[in-house]
Amino acid sequence: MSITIERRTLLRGLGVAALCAVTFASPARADDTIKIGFFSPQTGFAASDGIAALHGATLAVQFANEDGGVMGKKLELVSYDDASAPDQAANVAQKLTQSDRVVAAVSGSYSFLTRPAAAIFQRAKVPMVAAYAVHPQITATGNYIFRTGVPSAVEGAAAAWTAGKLMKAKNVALVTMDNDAGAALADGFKKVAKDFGVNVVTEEKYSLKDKDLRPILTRIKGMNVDAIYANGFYAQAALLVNQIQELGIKTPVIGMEGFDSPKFFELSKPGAAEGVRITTALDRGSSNPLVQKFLAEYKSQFGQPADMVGASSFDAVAVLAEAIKRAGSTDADAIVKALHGIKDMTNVTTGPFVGFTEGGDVIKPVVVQEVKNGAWVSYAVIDDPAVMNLH
Amino acid sequence: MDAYLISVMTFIGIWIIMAMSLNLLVGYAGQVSIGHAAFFGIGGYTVAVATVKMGLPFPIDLVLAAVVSGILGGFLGLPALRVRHDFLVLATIGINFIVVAVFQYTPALGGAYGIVGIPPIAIAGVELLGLGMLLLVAAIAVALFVLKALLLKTWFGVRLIAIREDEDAAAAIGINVASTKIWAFVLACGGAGIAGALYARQLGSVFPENFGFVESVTVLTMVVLGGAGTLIGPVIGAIILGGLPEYLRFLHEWRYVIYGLLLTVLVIFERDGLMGPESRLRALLTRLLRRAAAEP
Amino acid sequence: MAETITNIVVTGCLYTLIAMGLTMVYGMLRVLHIVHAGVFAVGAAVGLVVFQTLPVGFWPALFAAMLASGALGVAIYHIGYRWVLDAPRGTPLLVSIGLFITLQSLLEKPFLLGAYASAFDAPVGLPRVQLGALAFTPAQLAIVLSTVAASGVVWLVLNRTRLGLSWRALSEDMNMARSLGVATQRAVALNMFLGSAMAGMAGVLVAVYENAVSAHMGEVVAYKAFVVVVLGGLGSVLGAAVAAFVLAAFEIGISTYLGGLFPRDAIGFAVLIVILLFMPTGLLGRRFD
Repeated sequence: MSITIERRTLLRGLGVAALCAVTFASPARADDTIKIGFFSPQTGFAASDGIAALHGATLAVQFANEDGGVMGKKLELVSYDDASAPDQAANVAQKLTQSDRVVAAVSGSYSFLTRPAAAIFQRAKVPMVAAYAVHPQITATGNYIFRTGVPSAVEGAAAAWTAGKLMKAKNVALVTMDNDAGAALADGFKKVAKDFGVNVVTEEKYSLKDKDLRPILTRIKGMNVDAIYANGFYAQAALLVNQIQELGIKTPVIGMEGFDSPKFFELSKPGAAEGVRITTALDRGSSNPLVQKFLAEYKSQFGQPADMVGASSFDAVAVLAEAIKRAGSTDADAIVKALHGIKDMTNVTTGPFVGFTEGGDVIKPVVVQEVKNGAWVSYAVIDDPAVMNLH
Repeated sequence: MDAYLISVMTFIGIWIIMAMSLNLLVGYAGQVSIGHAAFFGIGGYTVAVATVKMGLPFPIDLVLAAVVSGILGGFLGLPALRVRHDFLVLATIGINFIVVAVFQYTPALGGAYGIVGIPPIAIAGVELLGLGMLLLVAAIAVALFVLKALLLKTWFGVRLIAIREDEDAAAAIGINVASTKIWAFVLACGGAGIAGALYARQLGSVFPENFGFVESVTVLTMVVLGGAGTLIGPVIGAIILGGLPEYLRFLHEWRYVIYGLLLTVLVIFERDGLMGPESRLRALLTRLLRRAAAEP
Repeated sequence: MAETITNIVVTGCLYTLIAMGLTMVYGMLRVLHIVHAGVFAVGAAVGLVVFQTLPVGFWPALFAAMLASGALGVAIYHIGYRWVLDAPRGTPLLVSIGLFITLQSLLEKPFLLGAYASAFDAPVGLPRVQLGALAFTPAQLAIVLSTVAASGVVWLVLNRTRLGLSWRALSEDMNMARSLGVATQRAVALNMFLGSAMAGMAGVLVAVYENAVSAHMGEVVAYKAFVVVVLGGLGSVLGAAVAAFVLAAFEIGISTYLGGLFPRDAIGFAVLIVILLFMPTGLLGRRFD
């Protein structure tokens, strides 16, 4: 007896197969572009950073192609959304290395997403650059993993330098995010505080879910502090300065690169942000024409001023493009060698890149910016080896 | 085989184990928990500490993860004796938050830095990556499925269902509700611990933010969507919801809008879950199986 | 000390507003109405848009937000909950979760709120107030007054109107009430409307207080509101109000005096669990079932 298969079932089966084919099929190899992989949280609660990072990376590819491309070919950005889920970051890393066969990749994500992906890139021997993830162990994953964001040990130390050496603040209160970024920066600060004449009076941790910093600030108000060193992203930065203003606290605030966003100004109440100083790497008043071109293009293409995340991501792609150019090849080991050979690169927005450490972390000066009349102005540049060479 | 596909399926396998274990608690014992990710995390952190800090090999770390999660789960069972229904739900959410806070604020567990550098599983010197890891996860999932099916056929299974249907009546006919409930928690949380152990190995790192409320909600959703109180329900739920974010990638930034809508629609259409006792999917599959079996 | 008390009062009011609306919906439908947090966010968004595009002040924008949120609540009932009221408990919860995910993902889109937070700098037209040692900013005063007014309205409706009577009847036993002639659909719709309007009101007030509206601003409310509702005793509006202040007092008190020992949410949950162990049906709850 012959088997009759219900047409409906057959159609359903074909439908499922088609869906799988569409989703899982490897794209055709296009050998006339050089593919740079990219992943960041483009949906979900972290989408603001993920999308900014994507914008930065997109601009870097655009600038590189306008400049004639790399090795005579155009750069192509292959981007995926990891939705802040570690398993998606891992899946995407597999896709980039095995299906899309990218030459190298950039992570526009936080540490808990970057670290699982980094393990996969290292095993697949594909160079990966982390744009802004701060966890100290990311570059320790292996020799193919690099980072162009300021290491937290350096940035925290720069804040201590600013407090102690530049502002002559003796007693400092720390207001720290309770995630790894906050911990790393606070540790960086505490490690060198004494060396720069700073006494850490207290360290107050807060959760990113917490919109009410008043209990912490009330405690600090009752202490004798000359400055507050706070870390957080743009939303927390605004909450902090607004609530400081509300509680009538007059202590000066030192922030970090997470504050470096136009949204910080937009969300802070009039006058609340005035006088805040931050450690960052983007000098908006820089005489480097690339910085000004980046800021102008970003604003005109994406409708809002660039932030530190976008700039970091730009640089990650830019340094990879430069390395491939210098290596003259897409071979992974050649790229790694070229990256280590980079000295004093000025074709970046948050530079100059003095070089890379053996472990793959970038060495670059820290810029301190201050809010004057509602805009960032340069306050200082810290390139003292006592800070810059810390890792 | 495509490495991406293998990666996706390995994670789905891990969600299947998680969902099956939660189903024991929610679908059979009737104790709704939206805090299961805490035990997923305890399993993961146990493996992290066991491998990175103590250098223990597989399968000792896996066994340890199951045992630690199971025992701590048993402690969770204790408040469950006092507190019921939606009060219990909130208590389980609370346990989740407290466990994550412990991960985040305990320096010995890495604190905010988590624990990184967890090596892949090695059996007889051979590292299990990619396909090897997928096969191991699949084998463990199948084994647990079978064990669960057998368990439910025992008197323990009968007691569980009696408690689910009516706790007071069960007590009235002489069932030791307290002891049965606690064992349900022990087994369910131990299962989550196994899933967490595999997850930690697959990712190579554990961070506090991996095991929060959102993850607990997701695994409960898998169980209920698939059909709580059925054997195959959580498996289907995990395959669909665990894979949906990947299947829907072609929708780009509309992925989660469609995901949410799909979930809502599916659940309204099949109120007892996609593989619930009277669902259309179950009826269809039963028909197909019968037809296949009837062919000479 | 004075700042701490002010903070507790204001936070308690905000928790009360959000929890009262949730208690009303839960009391009637017995659904774990997680998308209440989504209505909260939509309320804030509508308030912002109305304030920015129409030449009206803060209070009309707030009122518009309440209307929109109320309507959204009724829509959620008709799209989602109506079909699954007598389904096993997990099903309405999943409907709520699905709708919440959809709402948040939609709000994130560039044509709505976008991925970034937006400022909501609206003058509320109230003065700064000093009560002895306690100082309240205009925004804080707005929160307190709104909560008092809303609570008053809810109390009046629940205890002095037929509608409130039918709500209490439906909460006790929906089928019996229906067979005794209570106009069920209308009562349920009005209940959803008022409860959701309060969520929208809370959303706007929080947005102005923190000067930020974002697609994911409901993420904490999603569970925090339930802590208050459960602590209060599930379905008791007075219980929710009492629990709101108890929770606020513990959270803020412990954070202020013991520093960053533990995250605030974990503290709140620990308090909840301890209280539940002694009072398994909440502070003012009757025996469940």
